[in-house]
Amino acid sequence: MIPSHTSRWLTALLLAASLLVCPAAVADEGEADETEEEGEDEDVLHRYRTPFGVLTERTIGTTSRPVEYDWRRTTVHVAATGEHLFELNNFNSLRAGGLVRTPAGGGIVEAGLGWVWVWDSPSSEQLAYTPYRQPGRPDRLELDINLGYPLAEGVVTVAPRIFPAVEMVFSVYGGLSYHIYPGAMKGKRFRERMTAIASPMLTESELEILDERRLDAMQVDTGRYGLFLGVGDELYFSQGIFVAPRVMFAVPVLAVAAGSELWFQADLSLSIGVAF
Amino acid sequence: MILRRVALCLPLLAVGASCRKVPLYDVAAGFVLSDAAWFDEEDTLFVFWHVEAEQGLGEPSVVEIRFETDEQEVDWTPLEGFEPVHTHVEVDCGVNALCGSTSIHVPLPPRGVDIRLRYHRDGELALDTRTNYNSIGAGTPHANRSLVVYGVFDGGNEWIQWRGRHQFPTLRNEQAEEYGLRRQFTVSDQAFGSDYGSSAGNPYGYGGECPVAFEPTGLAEVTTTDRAVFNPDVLPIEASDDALVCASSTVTDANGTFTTAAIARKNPEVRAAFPIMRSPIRDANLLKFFLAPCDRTISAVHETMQRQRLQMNDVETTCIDDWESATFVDSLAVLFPDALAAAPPAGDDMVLVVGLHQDERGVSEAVEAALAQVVPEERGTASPRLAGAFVFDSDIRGMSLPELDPVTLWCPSELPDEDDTAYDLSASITCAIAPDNTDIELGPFTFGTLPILPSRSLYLDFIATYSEAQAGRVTSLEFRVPEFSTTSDHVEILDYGVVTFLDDEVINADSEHAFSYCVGEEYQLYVFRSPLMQNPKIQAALAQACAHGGVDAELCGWASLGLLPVEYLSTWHEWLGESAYDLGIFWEFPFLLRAEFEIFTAGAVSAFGLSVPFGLGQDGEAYLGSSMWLAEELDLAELLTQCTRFCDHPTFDSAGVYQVQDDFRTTYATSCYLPRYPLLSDGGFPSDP
Repeated sequence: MIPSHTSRWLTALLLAASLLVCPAAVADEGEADETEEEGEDEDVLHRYRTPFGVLTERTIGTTSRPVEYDWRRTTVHVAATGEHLFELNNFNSLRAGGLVRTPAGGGIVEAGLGWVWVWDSPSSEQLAYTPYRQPGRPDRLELDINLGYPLAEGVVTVAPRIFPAVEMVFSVYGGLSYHIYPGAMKGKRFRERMTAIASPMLTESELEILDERRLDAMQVDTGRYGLFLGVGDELYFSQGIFVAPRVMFAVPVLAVAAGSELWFQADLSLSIGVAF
Repeated sequence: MILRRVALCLPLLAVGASCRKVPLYDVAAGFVLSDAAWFDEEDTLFVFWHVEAEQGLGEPSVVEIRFETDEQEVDWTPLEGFEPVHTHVEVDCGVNALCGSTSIHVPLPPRGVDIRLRYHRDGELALDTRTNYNSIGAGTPHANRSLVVYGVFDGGNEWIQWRGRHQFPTLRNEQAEEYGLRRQFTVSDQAFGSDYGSSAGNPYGYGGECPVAFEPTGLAEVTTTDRAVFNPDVLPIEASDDALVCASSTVTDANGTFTTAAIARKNPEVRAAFPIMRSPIRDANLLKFFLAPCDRTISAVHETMQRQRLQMNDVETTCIDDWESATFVDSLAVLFPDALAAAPPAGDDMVLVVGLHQDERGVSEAVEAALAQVVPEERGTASPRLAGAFVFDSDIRGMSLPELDPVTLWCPSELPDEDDTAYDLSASITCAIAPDNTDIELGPFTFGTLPILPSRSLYLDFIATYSEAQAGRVTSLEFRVPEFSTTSDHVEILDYGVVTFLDDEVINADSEHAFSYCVGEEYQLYVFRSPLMQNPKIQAALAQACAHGGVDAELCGWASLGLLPVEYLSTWHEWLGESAYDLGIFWEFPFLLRAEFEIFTAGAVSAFGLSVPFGLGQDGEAYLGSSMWLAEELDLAELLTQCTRFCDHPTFDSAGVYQVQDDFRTTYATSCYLPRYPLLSDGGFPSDP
């Protein structure tokens, strides 16, 4: 809560700032008054007039605290996600899924689950005719845990202007991705599964099962986890709907430990969801 | 500043390095096997392949073949493109391998047979290899066809299992199966008989003709694509005495079917030659004497210990003050038989137990001389008899008269020298002790133990440190003695021991029989004798042969005694085919002493001139003498087996493999016969390498 005397000082300060930022508008108002006094045609000046409330709104939009939509006061966000995986091999990958997120500690915590489709490119089809193979990952589920921290945020206008202003949050993200190959642990006991999950590298038996699912030119990559860093925007509408484009980059720390050949990849995703 | 810039640049370098393109890797494929064999008799080309790679080859990879004949030229064609003559099942050779087999109908001899791997059925790149190609011409079925059929019997010689066996120049039977080849065969018209004729060079007897004299079994036809199938019913009882079953076997090939004779030979009928040798073992009646000077006391505590150890607290002392007199030995030698005569008439065998409390040189020798007049001569008599003697002396010395070694246990005795190669099997060694007792000292603490049958000096030293209470005590003393029947016969084996033919242990055999000797985990010497072996003329002939060095020295040594170790029985019977053999057992010592006692790990703590003893007691048990008298029964079931029928037939080994070239008579004469026969519950793919 802002004290009343502070509020008055702040209002005065904002008005002064608005005069500095928008001298043309103030000048226009002065000219309009003179015109009224002189009894000239009002239609000529009307289009230059701006209501005080709008001026105040514009000024507040430059402050460091969001006012259009306070996402920090929400409980949970649910979104659908589409993602394009840019791996540095010859296979194509797309991912679709969903995520659940919640604000926490000034940032945001996310859990996502998505299915990744992998298919051949013309290059990998040609590669399959040769005695060579290229590391890649077959179709899979991916489970993500991400942490986001806002670096910049504010109310922004959008085009076309028929849409209301939105809250934009620019954040940095870090996350861990776990590749789940359904059925690859078939025949393993609970303890063996837990041991396998703890390992950054796929087991021999998992690789044997996955070898039957791989694309012809693919050598199944041994990595089980991926570590990512990236940046993204969230655009919150006043109703709680948000759109979040994001780009994430693989950090090859776990890849080296797992003997993976897929050291680098970039994931470009777009999420659309609702915050409650 | 420079360091900070370098630190800032490192992550950028790491990111840059990680942005490399994902590399390509060679699958490194190579042929492990690329074999082809063409059978003229079957007009069939068999192909076997096995490719391994560092990575999975996958479904698109195909193996191709090309060949030509006088009538056709077949360019590279995927093997799966041919209609197989036989059944070939898919084979899983592992994720990084591709393997399998096929059979192609090729009427004329092929040439230029090549196999290769095409990496992708739609691609152009292929992996060539050198193909091993063999051509098998026309000829006898057992040598010139890719499958032979034969039969084997179960352990009871009642059920027949018919088997197919792949024959390829470069592949074994089970390998051909592993690469997916399955052959269908049918067996019908089974008949039993014995005279099938010779099958030299044809171990499985495949491809002959069933004699018309054979009688039909009435067994139903059997068909399978596995490698083996059991008959649906048992062989009729009328076939019990016949050696084999002959049947018509039909196999398929590219030209249709091929039918010829297959035989199943019965397993050798084998039983234990003499399953158990039994001799009652009884507790001996003890004749106790405590010999000590009566006119003086050597050591009261030592005498008390000796009496306790021998359980002789109530036995009167036999005075030996006059041991130096000329009549001492004779009078003692009379005393022992008197005690024997006074023993209960229907009693068990007896053991003379002597406690010798003395401290003069010569006393022990005098006692030895008296024992030597009585004990050895009693050993070979029938029960009840004096089996032997046990002496608990005061010194560590042992015996000096060798004739007492086989019958007397003299304690305590000396440990043998380590380099004493002449160390014999004397039973007295079982109670040998070290002359000194070594204590362990840890600061004020001293620890030590005392043998349960110690010498006087050891005992007195021990109790001086640890007290009498820590010296232990004997709780029971038993002497186990074998009971010999009135018909038992003993043969002295020089200084080593005695062979006893206990009662009526006879093995009867026909001349066609065969024996197998198997050494068990615990060696026990058994011997046999026969009428011919006892014949003086045979013994003379043997002695002459031995003198010329034409016979094994060990055999000569035994043969001079008129008996042989049982390991020679199979050979002897093979040579001479006698009808009966007496079975005897070798033993070294006539009784077993079992002592139960309480022994202490004693300790003493000394401080300020005072010593306080303490001890930790534990129960102990010791066996002195011959341990073979522990059990009344000696198991010979696996030691000696006797084949009574079909002894020249091949049989199964302990791994369950039918060893078609190993008949019982020659293979198992001196090795263990532990066959593992096929069972009805077995699958259709027996071990048949």
